[in-house]
Amino acid sequence: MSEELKVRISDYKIATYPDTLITIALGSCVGIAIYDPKTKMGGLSHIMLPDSTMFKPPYKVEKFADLAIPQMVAEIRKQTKNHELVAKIAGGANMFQFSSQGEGESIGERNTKAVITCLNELKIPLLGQNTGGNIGRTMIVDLDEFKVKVRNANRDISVL
Amino acid sequence: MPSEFNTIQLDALKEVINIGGGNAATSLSQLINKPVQMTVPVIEVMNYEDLYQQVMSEETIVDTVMTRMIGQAEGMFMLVGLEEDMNHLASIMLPSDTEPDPEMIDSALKELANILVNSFLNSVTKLLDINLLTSIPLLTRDMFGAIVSSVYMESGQYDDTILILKNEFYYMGERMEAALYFVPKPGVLEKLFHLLGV
Repeated sequence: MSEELKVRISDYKIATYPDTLITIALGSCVGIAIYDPKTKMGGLSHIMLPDSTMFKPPYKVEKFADLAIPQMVAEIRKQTKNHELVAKIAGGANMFQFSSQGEGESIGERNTKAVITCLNELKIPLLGQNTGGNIGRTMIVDLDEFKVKVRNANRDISVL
Repeated sequence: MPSEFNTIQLDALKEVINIGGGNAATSLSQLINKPVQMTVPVIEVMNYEDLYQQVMSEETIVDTVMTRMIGQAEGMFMLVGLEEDMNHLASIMLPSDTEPDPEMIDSALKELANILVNSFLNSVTKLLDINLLTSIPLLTRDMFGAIVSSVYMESGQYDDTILILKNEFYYMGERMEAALYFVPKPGVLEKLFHLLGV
């Protein structure tokens, strides 16, 4: 029996084929899919914020790009004994045109940048991304061949 | 965040929203020349999952008109409803003898939000004797979850649990299925309590 596991906002989950992972309604949040092609194990993280260092502990690890991704990757590497992982990401929109006025980068842009920096540090190649713009997205990760479906609010689907 | 507030403060907040929302309902009923009522304001602390389960699922496509509040206190108002309900609301405002095109509907919705928010704020600024202004309204059609989480985040509300402040309006005994949310920037409620002396 294959299951569709739902990853909530500020959470992550790890699963193996034939299960699929889904996270719904990414706005400025970013969804990060990490995959091991050998064991068909993968993880999906739904982060809300780029950087935990601006906040006081205790941290909710799953909420921040700089904490959630390394922890999820360490769990996958431990279980798969494989360090050759790959990644695909979606989200990081700037939902409102007026939100960036005079305040520098939007949260969505900062989230996307933080995620990419983190993946570089972990030496995980980014195979595809569907980020930015001003539209919400839902991300569905198929763990057979690591096809990542991104469905936006206009019901347009693109496959990463 | 919200556990910091005591019962008296929450009652005061409810009263402010009541006054603002009541004024908004009155303006709306003058505009459409029909009675519009308002429910007791909702003030609730929820995490995102509960919000998506109890209020509206995160993937629901909603029409949202956003208006920024600027001045001595900052925050964001959101008028949120399903497309068909919002279209119905817009049609109340438009002349009945013409078939409205999508642009007219969008513009009517923005105007509706404008009226609700500004009449809300008019009464609040009088009550508190502070200066508050609004931005031009912006209409977005997207997933409820993507909108709400992004608005809270952009307003500097980074917690997993969020304070929901909203008014629901009734028109001819029917719920309008459109709610007016207010998302304060950090420190705004504290300032409000200070002004009210609670």
